[in-house]
Amino acid sequence: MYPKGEWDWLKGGLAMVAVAIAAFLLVKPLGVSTQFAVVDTMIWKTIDPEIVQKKEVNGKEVLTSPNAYINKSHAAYARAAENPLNYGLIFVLAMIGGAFLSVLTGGPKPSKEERRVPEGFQRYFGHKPWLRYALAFVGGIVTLYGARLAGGCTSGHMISGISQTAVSSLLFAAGVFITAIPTAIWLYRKRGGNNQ
Amino acid sequence: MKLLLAIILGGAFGFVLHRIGATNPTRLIDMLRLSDLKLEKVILFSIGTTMITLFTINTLFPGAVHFSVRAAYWGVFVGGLIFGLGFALSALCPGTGVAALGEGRKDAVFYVLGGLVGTFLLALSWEWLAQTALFQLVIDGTPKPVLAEGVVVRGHELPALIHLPGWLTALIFGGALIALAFVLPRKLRDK
Repeated sequence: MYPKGEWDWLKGGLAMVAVAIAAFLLVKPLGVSTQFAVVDTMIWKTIDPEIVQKKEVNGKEVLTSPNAYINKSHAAYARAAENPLNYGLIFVLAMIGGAFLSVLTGGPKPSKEERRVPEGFQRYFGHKPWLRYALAFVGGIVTLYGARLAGGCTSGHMISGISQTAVSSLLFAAGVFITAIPTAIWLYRKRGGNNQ
Repeated sequence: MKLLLAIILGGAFGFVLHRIGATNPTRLIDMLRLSDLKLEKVILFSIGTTMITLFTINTLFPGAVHFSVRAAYWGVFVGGLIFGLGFALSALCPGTGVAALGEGRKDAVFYVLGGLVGTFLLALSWEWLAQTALFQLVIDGTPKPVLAEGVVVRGHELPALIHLPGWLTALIFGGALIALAFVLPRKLRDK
């Protein structure tokens, strides 16, 4: 039923615990969505250099931004964007390499077709690559808007946050499942004449 | 050293997300429409076990765990509601979307591009959002509440809502999550 090489939930869960604990002990909790803000700042400042500015404060050079979001927490995103070789960004880029390594070492290997339209999507919509791409794109806009408003995503809030018993992360998780489950049940339903 | 850790930990995280099938939108569609509870089990088990382990280590070796808790304002809940909508539409989330690039999924490219646009839109609307009730704290005067005792961030313990030893709260709460992972059926609905 699952592709060859996919781990069962218990083995996968234990592996996830090992990674999460290692991150908590060695550096900081797992997190991904912050890096979208860092990459955005990097792109933004190549188009409009004014978005990250250097200012002297008490003889020390500090970064500021006219954009309130980039400027928050002492312009943390601007500081990361000025120094791309930082832990958070390298961590997220390494995730791509990690998944690739998993494919190379006997993990699930999606077919060319599966890489365009996942089987679960075809089940309800048929073979419609551009519909899949459009939904992925719009979903990307919506998830990151929500994640950055909430200050974290599935990694930062759910895995890392709830493990620390953070109230904020419990609220986030409640919000996610309140909308995600009904929307998914409605969206991914059998459609008359639409299925092969 | 830190960059080496970033490569090792990030690589391991991407590897595990791929191996458990979380980078596969099919698995996420089935998770959200409750037609395959495998990933629910992974998440419940991982969170529960990580919680118990963290608070045990924290009791034995205070200061060894790098806690980092986000503030609880109403925007976190609203952000979650918005996130859930997008999660269903894309059947990907930020971490799984990025890792899915590593197995060559084309839809993940569109997801990540969309994510950059969504973050940009948030940055543009931040000043306006900051004036709304979204940034009011859920518990007045307590920016970062936690359930369990012993969560120390920068030398200060965060206020805990449950007045039991931290390891015990973690054991009860984490144990319940782990038990749920084991008792949940394979699926609740048909595909």
